[in-house]
Amino acid sequence: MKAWSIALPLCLVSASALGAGPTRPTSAARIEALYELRGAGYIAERARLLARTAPQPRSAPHYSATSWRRDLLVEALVERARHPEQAARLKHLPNLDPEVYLMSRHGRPTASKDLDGIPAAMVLEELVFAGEAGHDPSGSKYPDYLERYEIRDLKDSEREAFVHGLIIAAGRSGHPAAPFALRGILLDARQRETSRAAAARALGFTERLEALETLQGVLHDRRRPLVLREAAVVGMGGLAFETSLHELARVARRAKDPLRPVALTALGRLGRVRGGDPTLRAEVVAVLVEALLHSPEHQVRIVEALSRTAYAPGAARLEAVAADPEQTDDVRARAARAAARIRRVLQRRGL
Amino acid sequence: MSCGAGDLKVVLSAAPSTGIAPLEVTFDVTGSRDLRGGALTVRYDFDGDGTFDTDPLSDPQAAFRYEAPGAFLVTAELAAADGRTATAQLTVTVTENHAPTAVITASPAAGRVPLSVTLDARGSADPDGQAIELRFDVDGDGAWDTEWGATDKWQGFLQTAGSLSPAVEVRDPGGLTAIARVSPALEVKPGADIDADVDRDGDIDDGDDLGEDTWGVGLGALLMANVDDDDRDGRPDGLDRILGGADDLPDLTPVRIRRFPGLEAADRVWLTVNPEAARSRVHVFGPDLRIRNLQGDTVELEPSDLATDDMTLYVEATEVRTPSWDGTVDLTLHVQQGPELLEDDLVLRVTPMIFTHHLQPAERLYAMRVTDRRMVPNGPFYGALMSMLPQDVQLVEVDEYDYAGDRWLQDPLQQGYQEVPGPDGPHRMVTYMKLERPTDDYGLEYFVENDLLGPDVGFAYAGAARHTSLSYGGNLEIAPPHAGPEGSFPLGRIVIGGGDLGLLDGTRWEDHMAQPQLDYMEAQDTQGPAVELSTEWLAVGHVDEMFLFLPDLNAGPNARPWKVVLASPDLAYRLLEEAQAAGAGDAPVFAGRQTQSTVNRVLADTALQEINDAAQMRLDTVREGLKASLGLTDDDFLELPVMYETFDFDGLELAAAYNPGIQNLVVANDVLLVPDPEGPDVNGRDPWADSARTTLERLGFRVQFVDVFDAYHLQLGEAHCGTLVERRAEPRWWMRYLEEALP
Repeated sequence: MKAWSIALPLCLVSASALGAGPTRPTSAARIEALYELRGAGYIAERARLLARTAPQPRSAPHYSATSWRRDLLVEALVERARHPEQAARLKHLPNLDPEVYLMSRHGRPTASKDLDGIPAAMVLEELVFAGEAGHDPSGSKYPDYLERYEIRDLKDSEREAFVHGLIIAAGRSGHPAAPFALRGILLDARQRETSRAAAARALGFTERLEALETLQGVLHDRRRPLVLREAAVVGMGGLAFETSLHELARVARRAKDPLRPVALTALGRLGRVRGGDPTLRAEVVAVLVEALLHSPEHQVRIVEALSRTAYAPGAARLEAVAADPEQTDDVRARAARAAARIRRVLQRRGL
Repeated sequence: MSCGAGDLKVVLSAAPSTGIAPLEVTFDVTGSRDLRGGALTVRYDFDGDGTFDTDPLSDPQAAFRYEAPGAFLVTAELAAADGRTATAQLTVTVTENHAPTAVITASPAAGRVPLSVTLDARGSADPDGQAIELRFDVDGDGAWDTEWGATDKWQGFLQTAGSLSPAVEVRDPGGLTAIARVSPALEVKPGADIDADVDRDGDIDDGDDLGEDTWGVGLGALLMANVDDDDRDGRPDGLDRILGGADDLPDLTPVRIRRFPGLEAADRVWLTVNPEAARSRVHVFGPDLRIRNLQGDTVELEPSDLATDDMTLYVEATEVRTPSWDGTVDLTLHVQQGPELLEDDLVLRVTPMIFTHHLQPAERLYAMRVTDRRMVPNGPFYGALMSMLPQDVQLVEVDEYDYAGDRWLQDPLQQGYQEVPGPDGPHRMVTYMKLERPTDDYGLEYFVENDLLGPDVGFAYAGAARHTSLSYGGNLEIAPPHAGPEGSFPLGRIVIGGGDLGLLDGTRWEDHMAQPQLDYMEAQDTQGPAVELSTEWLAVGHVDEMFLFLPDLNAGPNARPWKVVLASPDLAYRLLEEAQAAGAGDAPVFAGRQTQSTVNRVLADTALQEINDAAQMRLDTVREGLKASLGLTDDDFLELPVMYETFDFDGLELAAAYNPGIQNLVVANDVLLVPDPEGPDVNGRDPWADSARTTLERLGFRVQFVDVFDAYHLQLGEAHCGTLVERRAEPRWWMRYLEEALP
């Protein structure tokens, strides 16, 4: 993951990224208020906030709409200079080329993985807060620096795929701006629902506590569309915090909750053996084993989740249940199958 | 008998010593001896007339056949080399052979053709008590209809009208015979008799009356759906109401109506066709090969047509078995002779459309040759096909411009065949099932009509249905013949992808093959019910993105002759980790390709690892599904190093192969054309390719890696996806069921 060393508009809360020494972050309320603004109003307010920061070596003393865009352009140019191989690929996005994907087997454009490495969070923010992403582009003017991405010539469905690609890339980039850009997409009712759900899932890759807070808010708000709340649950599975475990476990224990299946899978990701937080694994397994024994309707999903944990004590616990004559035949069979699956993973990976 | 004085002792025996003429007796002087040693000879007087009947023999045994009865004093004279002799005698008693007696009765004594009759010869016997053999002339025409045997009853159908005197001939071991005839004669009147090749021996004969009014998988007349184009008019032959030339006749089933002399003009002869679903799907042609019109359920015939000779009609089906018609045709022959109504029933059924599997030899491979730079050329791949296919597999080029570069030959069709018995052996029609894959003005949507339909090559189509890529051919594989917990599948079993387990990240998602198409395949009543395994998490959603069934050319006589090759992200990762540990962390993966990376970067990509962890768990679930449905064990699976990545499809994160999917290969007899995984270079070797080669060569194949990266892999497909292989199944599909039923 890259650590940006120059100022970026969204790095208000990550002062070290400004390269001018630690800066006290602005209050959460002011940040919150910022996201309510659009277009020129946003630019102006952000410029006012940025006026409190030290001037940047490569930018104008104060941000204006022009200088901010120019700075983003500089940023993009810097990235191209640093990673020319990526720049070469980014001249053309084959998966968004209609002639190419006519040859493919699905007939719909995909979000290009070629977006990996570009300043996706910045581009995303530009598209969102300049009022471009998800809106009718007819008659709109794209920022100059985005011209190079050939967005103007994209069809609507391709443009949506491009935005999705940005969302995914932003989430995985580790860029400090990402949680904010993604949050903006998620909470903006004018965005397409699929984009908002993608943003929720992408938040799950940011490893940031503020991302978890955003997702919690969506999960708890029952007025939100189910698809968004479901995506929030998916995202939580990637955020290795105790809070994630409690939230997911709570949903996983509610037999009638429509989010229950997704929560069960998310728990498996939370307790994963590869790249996961080992302190969470035992608790995750306890929740999943309980679910397995008492609710057979999701047993395949739960077994997959347990297998991801590759937790040997979990397998032992299940083997004990499988051998317990007090249990019903069905419960014992379920436990035996799950234990065998975990053992297979342990053996295959030499754990 | 032992005799002899002095040093020569003669021991004479006879086997048998008594019996009925003619009697073959073996005499033996083994046991005779000369106390002084030395060679001995023996000569015999078999008939007691005082004259020796043999020269001196060195063989102690000799045989003689007594033709006439009598008591015969047999003398054996033993002689030593120095002239000493000794004799022994015994008596052989041959009694007279008396002819057997033959008795035969028939039940019933009268009836109409085809008359089920029992001929009983159990009263036949031999007065000498010897075992007898019998044979029957069942219709009294003077020709024996059965071979000599011990069976003393005959049951069957008489097809000839008239006064008949069936006969039995009885024979004893001595060759004496006796004949008896049924008396008074059987009175057999003409009857309504309609026959087809029920026993599937290629002819309509007397053996076809039994079981003609029922139908079973091993017995019953078969029809073919006439969906090929023998007259090359560009349309399936069954669509019009004319015969498509002489070449079309084998696609029709002959039906014989037995002659019925004595009908008058006022009498009536007609056929009825049932059930109602059959009436719009069956044509009846007369002996003149012109169609006979169906009025409602009836085809009228002329009584005069049956006056002197049998009449042959020809029946064709215009459709394969479908969900709305199981292919059954019930033909009833009605003959109204004066006040009497006679009827005979014949059931036929359309032969199933049977899909081929990888254990069957490849004959033809279709692939598109793409040279136009605008359509991502596939020169390396097509060149590999040209040079690496076995000689006995014909490579057929599909035109790139005709089909706008739509190279996915696996997807629009599934190859099958129909087969019926014929006079010159089984008659087969390659029959493709056209799958639901609309491509509008471009693409392979009309490939079967344009390039394949022709003589003995036809197709069937389920019809318009919900469009999903899960209905394409890459999502339809045939597990080879097996028996398992869900039954026996002697012709193999349909395996498809689909499900509701959702995406890898847990997002709810469900997708299945279009139900009408699945119903259509299962209506063949041969290779279903289908096994469905989770593929809804995949971008294209096909089972060949996960596994394939491969022959095991090295399987022992009692071992399963096939394996499942299954993608394994864990194996792919392990090989990369080993490469990293060996110091090859900077080695490029997909060197020179658009998506080039390094071992270190791949292993450091935590998002990619999460996807592959989840993919491996899902593949484990698929493995368990295969084991449970097909009765497989872990030993039946072989793993190949394949990783996955995800793409966003309109908000859904669906997975596809990250490296070329090795399992998505082409089986061409003893050659495998395998997607080159393009893994890292570790001391001049690619560990992914080496692992795959070792695994696949163990099955006895020659492994050839092919470049699919740009032309196929980057477009979410591989080698199997880009090819269509036509295979040849073993003849007489119904024998697979009969063989299974035999102990």
